[in-house]
Amino acid sequence: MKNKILYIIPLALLLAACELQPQSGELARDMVVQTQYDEPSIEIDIFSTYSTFIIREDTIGWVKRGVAPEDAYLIDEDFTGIPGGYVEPVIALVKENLSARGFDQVTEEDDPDFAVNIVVLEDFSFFQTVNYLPTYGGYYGYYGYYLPVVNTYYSQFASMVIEIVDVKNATGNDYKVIWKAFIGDLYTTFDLKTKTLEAIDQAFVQSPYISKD
Amino acid sequence: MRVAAIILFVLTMASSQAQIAESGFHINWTIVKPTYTDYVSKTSSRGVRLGFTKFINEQFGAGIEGGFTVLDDYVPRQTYEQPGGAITTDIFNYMYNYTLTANGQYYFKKSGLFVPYAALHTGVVFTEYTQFYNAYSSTENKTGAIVRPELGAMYRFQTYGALGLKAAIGYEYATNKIEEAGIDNFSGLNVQIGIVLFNN
Repeated sequence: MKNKILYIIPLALLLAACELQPQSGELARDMVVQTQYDEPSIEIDIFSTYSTFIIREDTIGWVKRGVAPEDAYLIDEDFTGIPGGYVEPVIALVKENLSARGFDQVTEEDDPDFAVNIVVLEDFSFFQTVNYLPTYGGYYGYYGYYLPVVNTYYSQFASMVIEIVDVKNATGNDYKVIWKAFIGDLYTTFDLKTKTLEAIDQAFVQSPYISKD
Repeated sequence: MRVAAIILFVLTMASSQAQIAESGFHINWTIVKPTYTDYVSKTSSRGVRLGFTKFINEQFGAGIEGGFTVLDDYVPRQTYEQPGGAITTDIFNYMYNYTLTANGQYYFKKSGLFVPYAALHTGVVFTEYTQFYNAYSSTENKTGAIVRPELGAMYRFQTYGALGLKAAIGYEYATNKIEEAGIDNFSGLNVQIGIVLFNN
């Protein structure tokens, strides 16, 4: 009987050594980019009615459990290990994409048509499915920035969310989010800055309806 | 009377020598090549099957077998249009199959160390369809029936020896599918090679 066990053990070990999941390096090659739009707004081609936008110049929002609202933002000093910073290149690329689609950045006093919010969510996930119907938690951005309501389950992921908020057609304090981009995972990537910037470009590539023309 | 006793003894011995053994355990390394390739198409060598066979007589046997195989495929980065948006990612499709089957075996040779056989396995298969994309994953589980005709051979190194080899090729068809995702029944060819531990 002992001899028989000796035959089986190496085979069992061989099987145990099999790769049962993709390697993390392969998985983290590129970030996932998910975009969603408000269908009634796109049906009426709302972007053709816009000309101007507003965006924060040097901070992006930061949502994480335990982080106080007054600390809920990120600046380049939070990314000292990244040459050239992280926050400002991200903002600059979003602005660049919007400019290329025919929109002009203005200040709050200039009565912008839409606002752009950029928020990093840590320990939350929006990516639930790929091939099936998209579902995600209830993140609601609004003009006034950086105090978003997050209503989804806890996870070990970090995502960047870019939102376009309709200011031109707002009624009272009711600002409609007409476009969202979810980019992740920010934790597992081997090149946070490069892969985030690639993902931002991709978010606009897969959203051709964001255009003045 | 003495002659009759000798004849009975000879027949008994002939019969016991012809039957391969009383029973046997086997463990097989399994290679699977999917023939339905919409979800996974790569040939996988990550499979194992463990089984027990009761040799009923020199020509028939029956057994049970449990198996595990992992199949996977890579879908390069592309954009999927969805209602109200789009998603861009590369995807690793994984399929984890757990099978439990009963089988009947027919042996083409009644004696000798080399015994070719045909077998038909039927049973249940539990399949875990998992898609990995970046740090995320989604899983769908399905249970169904599986049928696996098989042709193979066993080779026993010595008469009454405990150790032998087993090799087989087979075709498997499972009823599992995910209609909402357009994933149809799994089918595939498999090759197995392993060892058999005989009990006399």
